[in-house]
Amino acid sequence: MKRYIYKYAFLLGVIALWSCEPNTDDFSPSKGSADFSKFIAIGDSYTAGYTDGALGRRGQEEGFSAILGKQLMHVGSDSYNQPWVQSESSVGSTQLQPGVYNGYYELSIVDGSLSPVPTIGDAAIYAEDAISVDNQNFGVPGAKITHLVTAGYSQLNPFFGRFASSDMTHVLGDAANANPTFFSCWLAGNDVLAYALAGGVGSIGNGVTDITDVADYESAMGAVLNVLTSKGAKGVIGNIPDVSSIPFFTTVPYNAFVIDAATAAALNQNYEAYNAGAEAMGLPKMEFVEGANAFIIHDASIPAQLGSRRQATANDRLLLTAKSYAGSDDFKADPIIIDNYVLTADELTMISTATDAFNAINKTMAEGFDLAFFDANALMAQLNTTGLVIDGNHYKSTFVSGGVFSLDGIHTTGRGSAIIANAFIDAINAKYDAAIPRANINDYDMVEFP
Amino acid sequence: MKRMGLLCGLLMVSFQLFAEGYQVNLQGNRQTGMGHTGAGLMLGASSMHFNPGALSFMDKKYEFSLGVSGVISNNTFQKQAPSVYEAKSDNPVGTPFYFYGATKLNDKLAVGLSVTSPYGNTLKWGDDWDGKYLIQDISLRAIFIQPTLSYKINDKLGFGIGLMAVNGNVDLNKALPVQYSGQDATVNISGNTWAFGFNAGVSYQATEKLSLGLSYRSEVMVELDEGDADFSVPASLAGLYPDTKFKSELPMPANITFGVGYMVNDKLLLAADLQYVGWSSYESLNFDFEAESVPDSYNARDFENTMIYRLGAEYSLNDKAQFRAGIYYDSTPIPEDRLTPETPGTNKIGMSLGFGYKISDKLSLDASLLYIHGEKREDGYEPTDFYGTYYTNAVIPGIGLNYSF
Repeated sequence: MKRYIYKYAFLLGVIALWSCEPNTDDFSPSKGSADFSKFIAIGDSYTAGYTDGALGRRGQEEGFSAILGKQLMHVGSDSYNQPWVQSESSVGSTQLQPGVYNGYYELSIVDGSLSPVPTIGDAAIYAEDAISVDNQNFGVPGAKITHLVTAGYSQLNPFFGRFASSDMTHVLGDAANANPTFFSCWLAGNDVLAYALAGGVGSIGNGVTDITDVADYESAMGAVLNVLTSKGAKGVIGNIPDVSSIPFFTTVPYNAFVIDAATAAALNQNYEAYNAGAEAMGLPKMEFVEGANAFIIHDASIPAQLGSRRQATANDRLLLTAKSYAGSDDFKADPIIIDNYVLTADELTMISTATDAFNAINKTMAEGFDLAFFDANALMAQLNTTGLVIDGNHYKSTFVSGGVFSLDGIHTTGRGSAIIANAFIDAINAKYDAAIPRANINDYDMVEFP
Repeated sequence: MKRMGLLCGLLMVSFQLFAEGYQVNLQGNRQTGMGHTGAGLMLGASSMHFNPGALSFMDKKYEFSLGVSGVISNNTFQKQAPSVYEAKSDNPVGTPFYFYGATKLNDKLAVGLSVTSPYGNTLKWGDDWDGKYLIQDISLRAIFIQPTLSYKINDKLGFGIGLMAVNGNVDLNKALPVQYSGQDATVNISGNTWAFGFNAGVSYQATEKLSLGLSYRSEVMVELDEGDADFSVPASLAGLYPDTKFKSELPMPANITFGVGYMVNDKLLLAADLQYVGWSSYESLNFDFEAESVPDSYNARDFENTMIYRLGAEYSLNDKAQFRAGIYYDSTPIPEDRLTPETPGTNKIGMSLGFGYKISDKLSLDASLLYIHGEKREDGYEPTDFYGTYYTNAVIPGIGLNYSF
């Protein structure tokens, strides 16, 4: 009897111990054939952590490069230092009044509906000294690929001025001095986006709102990758998303010009002469009815005697900023969406032609330099169509509610950045046979609702 | 001693018992000790749950039995690779219970009342875990109240039937993917309602040593017409997400169990059960919200019918004490790509030990200890893309008293 009791007691003990918690087989991160001991990121506002229309500490902490840098700490990296914004505030590049720049946009209820409203930024951030030899984030808001190799760029762009090692250095030089063993290089689009954001006011060239010349793009990208890989570093590059997948260009419908019967009648009368002329030239007439109409937009290809204007079609894209312009006094005086707030079909063609050319270069360079390749264009296109279901939420490119894009309609939320960081991780894992753990998307933030 | 050795061997190669889906098979500590077998046995008042046909074979005029178990369950979730994320549930101790009271009206006819909680599920993953948009915590519980009638057709054959009045209760919390003031919006879903079903069974004493039983428990569709959905959302969305009522339904699936009991000798009783569970009626979990602005929610479940295989033994040491042991294998009803953290099911092996002691002629005590080992399962829920590896186990001590005269 006693022996039985001992036997049972022993068994019970074994069971009790055994059962406390299930044994798990843990995931082992691995660096594969790459060396992540010194990671740097070079690029533009996405790399810098720009979000909600401004640069601030919150965005820097939730930028894709910060998230990538954090995940790389599982595979040999020991830091990801950034030129931290020291101010509690943030600063953007829109001048609200002379000397006053915007800060983060916030979602507020304006006239009964939710609307992003800029806060007042802290322009002192531009003058901050964030220079450090330990810096690993060389993302400069506003930078095109050609700017990365422009000596003295810090004099032109205060976001670089904050952390440039000298007045005459360039971004690439400072990045190379960090001696990376691994880098990310992603310029998500200022080479076309600057033009697009200006409503297509510009051409091909080196102006602020120009589309970069393809040959210049190729030579600058070649220079960047040559220098960064010259000491054996490996890396990952990303390509340029089509502007048609970014909510800044997809949120305001071309036909959201809502008017009453009297206004429609007045406009029809105003444009009687236009319609006669248009008919003679074989151009479409303008017609207005009570309710929703296509906006009148500026189009330089329409003859000046017709006022260089026409009604928009589904092939044109109104900018996010057109929405507030449509509520302005100027618009009330003459209801036309001016050049800065619309991309016509012709301008869009110019953008997509350039995007395709740049992306062909990116692809070739990734192969030529034997780097991992992140297809940002495909990811953004997917987010803009079917969206992506991740860990219980359906992410889409939809402005405000989609979860991916911040209140500026161009840059990502923390979640959007984490989705991008994971796409980078997937590309790196595939290329270098590594096992970098993905970030948890749900650990990061989306748009804050009031 | 030789026999004990055999039993220990069985325990070593196998593991232990609680059931798949949200069914909880802990309706008698004597049976639990024997791998929750019982459909083919004649175990007095608790037969009302296991096989009401066997109730008419009860020995005494009156019999009462009550007991409770403490379900100490652990769930660990490891996110799909590549990821270092791991979460552990912090489940409160579940306390399924049973009460049986029965009396023989005459030599042939017995009546009784049972109160049991054969379905339930309490899981707490935490407010801020990675699967928060699927579930934060859930508490499901159904209490079955069952008046039962059992008739002994002859000395070998008994038949019984019970009416089941079921009180179902649900309370769950999940986060919604909208953020405000540094937190997620949330919804609390709760409700309580009554539903009805029946069970029936036939018990047959084939020989002095061999007994057989077949028992059926009908499906009970718990239909909630007036559940409460309480939303915590940012003020700017409060108009779209008012607190509202909802309709939903959840099946308590039908069970068919065939059992065999065999008295090897005066001391050793062996039992085996085959339990078929009709989980396929759980196709989806839907919430139809009364407020028009709140989108209805459809969640595919697509459960499949399952089989549970049970073996148990009882060894009488002397007139007073019995040792028991049992094992079972419980296959999961949850198909591939339908595995949610609210019911992280997996094939389970149950292993039980039990001890019975006759305190007096009238009073006896049963204790049981059940260990359930869930096979690790790497799977997830496709509609919300939440994948990983789930590890599950549970330790369930239980105690019960029987009083008969």
